[in-house]
Amino acid sequence: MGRSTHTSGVQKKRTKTAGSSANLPRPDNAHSTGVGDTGRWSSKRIAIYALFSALAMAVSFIEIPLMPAAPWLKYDPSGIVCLVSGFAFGPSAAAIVSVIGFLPHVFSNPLGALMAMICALALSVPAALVYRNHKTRGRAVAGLIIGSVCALIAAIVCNLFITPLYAHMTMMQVAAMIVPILLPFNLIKLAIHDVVTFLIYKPISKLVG
Amino acid sequence: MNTVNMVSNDSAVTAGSAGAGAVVAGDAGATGATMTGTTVAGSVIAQLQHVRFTYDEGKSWALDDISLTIHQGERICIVGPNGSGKSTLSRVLAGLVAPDDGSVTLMGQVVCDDESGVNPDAYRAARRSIGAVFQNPEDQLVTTVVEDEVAFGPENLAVPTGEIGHRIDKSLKIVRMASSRHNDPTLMSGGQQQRISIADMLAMDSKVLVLDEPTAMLDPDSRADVLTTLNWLQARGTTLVIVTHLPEDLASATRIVRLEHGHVISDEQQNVTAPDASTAAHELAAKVCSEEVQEAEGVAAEESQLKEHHEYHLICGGIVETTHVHKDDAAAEVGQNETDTDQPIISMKNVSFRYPGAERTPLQAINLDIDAGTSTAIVGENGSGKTTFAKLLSGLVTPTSGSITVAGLPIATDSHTKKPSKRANTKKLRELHRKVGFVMQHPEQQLFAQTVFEDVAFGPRNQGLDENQIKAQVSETLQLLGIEHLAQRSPFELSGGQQRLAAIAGVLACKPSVLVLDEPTAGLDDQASAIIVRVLRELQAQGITILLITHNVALAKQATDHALVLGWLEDNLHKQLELVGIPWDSIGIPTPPSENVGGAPSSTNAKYSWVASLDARSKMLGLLVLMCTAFTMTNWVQLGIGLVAALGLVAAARITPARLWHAIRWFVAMFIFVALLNVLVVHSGTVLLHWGPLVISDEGVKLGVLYALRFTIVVVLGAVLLETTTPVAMTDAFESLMRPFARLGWHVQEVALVMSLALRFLPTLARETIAVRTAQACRGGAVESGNLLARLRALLSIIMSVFAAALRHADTLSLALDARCFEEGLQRTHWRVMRMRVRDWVLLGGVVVICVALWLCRGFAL
Repeated sequence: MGRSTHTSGVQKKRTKTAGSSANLPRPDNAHSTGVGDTGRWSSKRIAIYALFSALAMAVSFIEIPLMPAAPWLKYDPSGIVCLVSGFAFGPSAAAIVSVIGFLPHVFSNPLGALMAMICALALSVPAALVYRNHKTRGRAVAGLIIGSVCALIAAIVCNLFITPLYAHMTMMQVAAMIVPILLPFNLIKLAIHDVVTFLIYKPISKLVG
Repeated sequence: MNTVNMVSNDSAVTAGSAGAGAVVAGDAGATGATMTGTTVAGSVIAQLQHVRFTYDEGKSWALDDISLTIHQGERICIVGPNGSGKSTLSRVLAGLVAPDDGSVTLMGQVVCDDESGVNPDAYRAARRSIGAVFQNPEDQLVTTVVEDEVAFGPENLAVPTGEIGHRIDKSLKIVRMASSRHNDPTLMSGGQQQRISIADMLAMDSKVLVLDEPTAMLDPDSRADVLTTLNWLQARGTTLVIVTHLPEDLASATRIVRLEHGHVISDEQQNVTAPDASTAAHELAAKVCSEEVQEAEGVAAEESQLKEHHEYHLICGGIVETTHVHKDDAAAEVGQNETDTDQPIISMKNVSFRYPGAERTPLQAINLDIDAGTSTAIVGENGSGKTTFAKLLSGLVTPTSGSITVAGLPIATDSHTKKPSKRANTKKLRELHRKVGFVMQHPEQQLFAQTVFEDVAFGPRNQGLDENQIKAQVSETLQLLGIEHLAQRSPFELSGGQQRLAAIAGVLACKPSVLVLDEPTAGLDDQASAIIVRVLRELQAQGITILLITHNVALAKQATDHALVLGWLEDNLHKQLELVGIPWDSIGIPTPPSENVGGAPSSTNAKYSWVASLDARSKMLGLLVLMCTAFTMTNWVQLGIGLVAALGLVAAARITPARLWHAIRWFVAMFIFVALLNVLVVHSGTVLLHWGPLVISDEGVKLGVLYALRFTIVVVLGAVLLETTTPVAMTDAFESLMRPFARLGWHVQEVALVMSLALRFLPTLARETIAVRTAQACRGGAVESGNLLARLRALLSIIMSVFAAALRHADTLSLALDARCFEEGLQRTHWRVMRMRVRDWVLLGGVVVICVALWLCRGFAL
């Protein structure tokens, strides 16, 4: 039966092609079945958020000491995942990945996780907001710079409040550490985040399609 | 539709009566038995008319004018070369995607036609009866416990809680996984994972199963396993649509549809007698022999050929004399004129390996010499240590004892004591990476660059060659693999087979003198596999030593001259030995230690404790509050209260000291750091030591101990929670606690699902990240060493690959979520009902008491 309908199908095909391009009645042309299209999160979106969150968690275990002077401050690339999520899927994706990405640490190091979440949010959400409406390379750079400034401020403020809970130090003592230790570490860290993100966000957006 | 599969009347009855007792709900009576009784085929399940489908806005058509009708009870195989549109067709049939053109009727519902477009409600209804199983077994799993996994679909369909329990029982029994219901499916074999994916669909009462290459990524054992399950389902009247390129899948098909370039080029009924329920039952009983059924055909012929072409060696624990893979004369003539042919290129002396804490391994006391220019297959059962063997040679793992020399480099030297062998230093390993190319399993997962050329150039560039040399080496390699025309394409746009070749090129471009390949043809069609065989032969002719790890005997025969068999004799090894013509009973080989043979320990009752039985919500809230109060402790009394509470919970959770240590060992460095930081910054009190800028005072020491201990309390409490609560329970609790926020328009249900899926995929991605990192390191790209530019390049190569991996997983996962009917906002039921009991209020009350006590004790001095 496959054979017999084949010939009749050829004639019909022409009219079909013309018809479908003229009035596309489908909700979108990405072969959607229409299930879950109305103001909901599609399963595709859930799957991508989940995998990016998992990726942020996974790469947070790659820890590289950046400064020989302060070996306990380690660089982990999870911020890149937050930034790329924001560029590819918008600020809400950035926020979700930033928060969920550090959830595994909440029950082992609650304040450290909180600090990491705040810094990731401060970095990726403003960057995604700046980039959202005009997706140009210039906007991406602007987004990365603005995000980095926010993240730098957030990191220093968080350290002022949270470090005294781990060590018997006053805020002034912590403030004294800013210039020699916290500032250079965070600058290097954010610079790596920004450079890598700038190099990979385009190819990844292409992959996302 | 004439002579379709007649699931004969009596077989349907057998299935029906069996079904009354212990089989999945739904198919048993009504549909199955009534309509398969006559010569006319069952009712129409799916009908496609003039369906067209494009991925590139009409430049090319993945499906071009497909018309197809599928009837109840058929077992249809869809075949065709890579890229013929098989997968796309299966997704259309499963109701997961809508075509660009044409009409689709599924389960009697017009889900899509040219006049009205898609009908979401019809799709939703149709999907409830159609199950879909995909190629990659792992990506379809949504949780880490089998029963939660199976419950996920029925929950989405709002099946009442009690009924879900029945469905889990029934569907797990059908796929023979009932005994594993409490285990973690992500740790199982691919075959078991596919059976669980099938159970997922059965639990949703699917009448039709659409399977997209369900066995392509499996080894022969697992494949036979899945086929047995499918035969059983067919006998029970489930309609099966199977996309495949494997001949054994076709054997019991009632109809074979062949696709090429998006057209149906043939559609033939098969005259096979469908397996009836009793034969299927026999098959189940005879599961152990299933490999024989599978291998029966070609074995005799193959065996003689094997003996002709191959020289076989057996590597098992305890063989003392050295196995020597000689370069035979024929190969020597073609090979390079190497002067140094006396020295074997690979030499293992008394090598044993065992992963710390892992069970048995046949890699024991291995003595082996391999000559340069030979090609050797390494065969053996799953878990016989084939991949570990490759890692030993590539310097990725260090043997427990013994020494290994590769290409003159001592990569591990025996310490001749009880201590493990000494690993070569970084410089030597770097040199080793240049000499040994390692093509890992699924090497396409390591692709990262924007063009194939750049990807392949990664290795030569890391070797510090100049641009001309790089260019020459890359084009030579691409030519060898016949993919020079793809040089400027993005590796991510290529077909699966092309990606595999590009990834192999990336290793070959480093010009290794030894090439180790781990299952290089897994999941490829015949055409792509043939290219790999040809390339391996050409490389051997150039004098490169080849080691090919595979469980595909035919491939071993085509691509290599020698074979090493790894494994324990008591397992299935004797079968392999027979296959290669070694009289196995003549060899005295140690039998495997009997401990651990009984399978995975049951986790049901072993983990029960007072803390474990608490409601996850009260546990999370209570422990989180306690953890935060720890940061307010400033004196010994408070610290004492905190320590007693934490240790009390550890005891109530029945966590042994060893397990506790295992859970918190990574934090010890942090404890010490916190203590030292305090000792260094606090200068008040009596000075104990004054040395240059270093001042240590008694108060500093006290505070160091205090801060380290209160941080320990935090971490121990966290460990109690993590050790006694599954990610599933935590996610459910999180969703329940956050539910009030749903009123504010937050997507609480979805965020909870995202969180649980993220936790589920975390180990997968972590494992892949490590694999990619290793693979890029083998191509000379390491993040830890080298100049800044080289480090950045290495980091980029890792990050791009893992992003691509994440998106690949997301692709299958989103289809799997659709197939399981997850939809935001729909009424869901929960199989695990959360209930606050007396003990939960006891815990919360206890937390309040501790908080009050800490507050009252705040005045004590340090």
